[in-house]
Amino acid sequence: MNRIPTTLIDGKTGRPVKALLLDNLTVAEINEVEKQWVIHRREGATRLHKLGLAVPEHWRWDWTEKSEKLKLLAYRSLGIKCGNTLQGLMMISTGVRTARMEPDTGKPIVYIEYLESAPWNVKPIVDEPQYRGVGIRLFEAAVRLSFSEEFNGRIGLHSLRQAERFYAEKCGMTAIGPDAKFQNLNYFELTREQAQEFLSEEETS
Amino acid sequence: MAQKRTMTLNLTEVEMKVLEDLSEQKELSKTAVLRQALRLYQLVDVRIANGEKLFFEDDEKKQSELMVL
Repeated sequence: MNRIPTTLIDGKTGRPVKALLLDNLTVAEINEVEKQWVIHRREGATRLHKLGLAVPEHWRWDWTEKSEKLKLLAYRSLGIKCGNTLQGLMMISTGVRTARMEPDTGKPIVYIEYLESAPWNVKPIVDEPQYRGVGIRLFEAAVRLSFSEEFNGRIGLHSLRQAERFYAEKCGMTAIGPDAKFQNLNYFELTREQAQEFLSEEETS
Repeated sequence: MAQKRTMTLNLTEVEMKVLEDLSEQKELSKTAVLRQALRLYQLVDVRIANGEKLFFEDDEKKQSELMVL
């Protein structure tokens, strides 16, 4: 497993804290994380529902179902650890899907299958997230992986409605439109130019 | 990055030409093309072994089943 130093933002102090990006998480590690997360996710969803507030769309996610894919070469999982606990998980596939946008239509992309911050880092679930920046650090890892796979930073994903602004505004992706073959979720793509811009901005911020 | 192992690959002239063409079209090194091919082959093979079928669909939504050996 690779361990790459990165940073998150402490939710209380607003200061950067050291974290580790972990590559190639195993099925067992992910299943262990799900055991913790499921309790917080469900408690949060129940609380929000009682208050009449919007429940996060991913509250029914179960990584133990998703992790089966990791037995295949095309899939891998990354996580961010901070305070000795995993603060976010992402599963990607490499080369299974191809770009829809010019100038690289038909060329392979890194596709983000799932990306989730730990429930205690998600604003609607808790009032004050423990750590911020989990999603953007994982997205950055996907872009860097796309470069290392010779995909020039190209990324694709289908976004849940509540995450669309994050991918469009924070990540700089282009919304292609609803995908009838994918529960009508909006499909987003990051081109090679957008990937360069994204990394430049991350390096200067 | 996972540790890598090296192998020698013997291809015919025609096979090498196909690999070179794919490498150029996809803007990937020959190693990356073969890595992608292996990932896809395993994915398809496992799903077919699990009883699924692989289809291609044309613009008129006509489907044709692909045999994978």
